[in-house]
Amino acid sequence: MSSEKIFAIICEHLSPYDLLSLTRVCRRFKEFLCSPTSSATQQIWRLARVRYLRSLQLPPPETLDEKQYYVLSLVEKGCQFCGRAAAKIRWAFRVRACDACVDERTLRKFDFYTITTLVPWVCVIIRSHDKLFIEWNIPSDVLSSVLYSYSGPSRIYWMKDVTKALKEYNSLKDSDEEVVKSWIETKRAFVNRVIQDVQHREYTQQAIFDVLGARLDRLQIMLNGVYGHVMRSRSRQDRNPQRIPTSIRVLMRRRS
Amino acid sequence: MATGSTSTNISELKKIKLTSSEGTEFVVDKDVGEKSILLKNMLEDVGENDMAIPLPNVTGPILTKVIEYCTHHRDDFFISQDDDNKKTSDDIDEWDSEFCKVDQGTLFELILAANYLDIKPLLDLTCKTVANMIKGKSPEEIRKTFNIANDFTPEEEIQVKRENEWCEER
Repeated sequence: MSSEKIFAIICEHLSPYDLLSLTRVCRRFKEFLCSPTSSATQQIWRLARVRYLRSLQLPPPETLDEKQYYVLSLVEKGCQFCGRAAAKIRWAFRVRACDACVDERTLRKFDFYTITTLVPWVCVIIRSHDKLFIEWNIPSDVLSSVLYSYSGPSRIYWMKDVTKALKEYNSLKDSDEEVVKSWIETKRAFVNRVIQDVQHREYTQQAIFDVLGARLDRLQIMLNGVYGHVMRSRSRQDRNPQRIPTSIRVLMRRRS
Repeated sequence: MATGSTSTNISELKKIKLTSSEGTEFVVDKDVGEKSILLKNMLEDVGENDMAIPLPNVTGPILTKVIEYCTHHRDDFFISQDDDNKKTSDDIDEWDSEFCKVDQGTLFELILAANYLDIKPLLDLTCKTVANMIKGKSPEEIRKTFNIANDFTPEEEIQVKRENEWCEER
């Protein structure tokens, strides 16, 4: 058994919070704990998640590895673009962001048919987002290969995802029709799978118990840290009983 | 039931000899030695034999500790702890935690010995002890505890920190 295997056994006893600290210790630890393709790495994070995080019992979506899944779900740092607190997890885009930052980074597909059925003032509001409308020269095959979410009645697409898909699609221009077809089909199947998963996740996430569960998990992670600290300082005192903190020594002297 | 106890008695009577890396000979009861899957398999392969088994990877002091552990737990039925959810690091019993109050060097040598001799409960115990030394610590505290050099460049350090705050740059 290699030293990596022993390191893995040690990690099996740690919470995701402690694993994150380990990734920042040195390169070797980081390489071992941040490898999305290594099954050993994924197993460590999976174990820690299942054992310590009641709110994260569902496996990660296809688009995320175990570590990313934990970071996206439970590390509370507000919007990842502007830092504002009012941020939501956008599973389809793999970000935690506020509405304004999502607006800035997405394109929206505007369905004129639905708009005409809406009352005029809604049209006015939507109009203010004019700059975000998708330019109509993006082929629908490209759009159907990109993950989307909703903002009101319209679908929104992550701008960088659209650009990337467009590039990929254009690079296929000279290929066989069959190749293009299979590219589109694979992408569509992927989008369907992920969107279904995302909808399920967003639905369960709204359930009050899950929200509470996530809060409890965060609290427990925090307490875990404090607990570790207390236990260590206690065992230190056991070993060197003569080492009493100065403040207590002063108190003792005063009493006597 | 009667047969079971007789076989235990017989195995208790048997002794095996082990040689540490320095060549010191240790005599232990067979049932104690067989807590090590490596030794158990060896004994099964070799059969009744009076020869000492050489353990070139284990030093005398470490072997003494290992024998101490196996003797204390000789009557325990070592269940395989494959149930993932049961492996938390808080449930170390008092004797075991006293046993692990050794310096870091000894602790790591014990891990290597437990690994080499294939004594799963000892490997789990020592790894749990190390895990407890990590719990709740900041990266800097972990480095200090285990004397690990920080080999990140400042840029890399910022990068890792960012990766731990959100899952990717978007």
